[in-house]
Amino acid sequence: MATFYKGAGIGTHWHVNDSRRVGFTVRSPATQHGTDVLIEHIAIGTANSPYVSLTRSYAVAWHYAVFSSKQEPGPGKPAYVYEIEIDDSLPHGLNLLDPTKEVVHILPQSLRGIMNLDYMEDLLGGQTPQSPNSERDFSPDVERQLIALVFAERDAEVLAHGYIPPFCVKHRFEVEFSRSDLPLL
Amino acid sequence: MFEIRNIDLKKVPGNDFIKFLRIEIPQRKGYGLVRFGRVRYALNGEHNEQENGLPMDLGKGIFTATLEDEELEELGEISREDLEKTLRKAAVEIIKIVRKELGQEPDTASILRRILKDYAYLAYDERSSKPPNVLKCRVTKPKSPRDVEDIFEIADRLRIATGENYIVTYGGSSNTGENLDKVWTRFSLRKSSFQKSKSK
Repeated sequence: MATFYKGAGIGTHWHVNDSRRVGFTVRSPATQHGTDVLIEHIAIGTANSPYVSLTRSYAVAWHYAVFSSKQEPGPGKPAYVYEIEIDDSLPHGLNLLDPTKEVVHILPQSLRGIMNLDYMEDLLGGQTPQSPNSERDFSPDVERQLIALVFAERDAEVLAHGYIPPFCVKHRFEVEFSRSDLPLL
Repeated sequence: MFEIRNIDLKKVPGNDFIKFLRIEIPQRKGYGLVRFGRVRYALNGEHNEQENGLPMDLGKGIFTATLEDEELEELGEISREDLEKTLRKAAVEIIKIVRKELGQEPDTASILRRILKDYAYLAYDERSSKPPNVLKCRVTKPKSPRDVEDIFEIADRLRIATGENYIVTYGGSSNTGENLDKVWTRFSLRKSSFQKSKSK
């Protein structure tokens, strides 16, 4: 049995729709699973994605819930953190993906980045020149794969591919923005 | 305790249907800024700020939520695709403004110093450099074997790290018969202001 969390900010889909009743569905079930699609999901966003992002960290989910809200959560107006338990024998049709494992095998410079942190820092902190007509935020080269890897690690992210049924959703915690308290990551 | 830092976004190119006004970024004393912000906006050419904001992940440089269908319907004939395209372009500009305001522009001199760690015979010349536009380096061990290709390699690594192009010049004193490409003692990297022109 593994425990995951998902933050739901005020005004977002999983705030309006209670997953304890409806489970978690992906935005675009017709989109095929693939490493490029997975990288796009993490690095660029979740539109037209066949995945649902989960995290192993309550603190990460708390941040997403509170700071990805369209309005500041407060007393009587909370954001939510869902707690999800998934049995080792996964529900039918559900697959859990560790983005690090999925991305690292197509990352030729990963070892270089891991062994030489200075090099990695330059690469990750740098701005990538874009083609003049680019509509994407990142050019399709190795940096984008590294960026996806780092953000997946930052968020302790796990991707669910398929439907998470309601019985897996054990709790929905109410969280709010407090000017005097913040869980540290 | 938290403070909310506001950064003006009125210079961000929006569209007739959405204007970006400001971004709110929570800041906790002693811990710095959190990695999320909320962009305040106005719709349909009005200046009235909407009750909702659009949250951004400042690390990824993306919006983490978008307008609801009801809000989109109020905008008339704007498609979801047009909206998302506008938001993606705006996110890039917003991140630039936020980095500038927060002083998070790349520290070019520090990046160069890190790169130079791989070249034991070189040092960053702090006294004569004028970062971020002019960066100078000098040879500290004159007898070390070197090649001019090293300089271009350094310039290339700096370009990758900063996203800026650099014009390379190098020099030194050489005797008759010596190849300056092998005995250079200093070089400078000058940020290029060259802009690509649109083809006619």
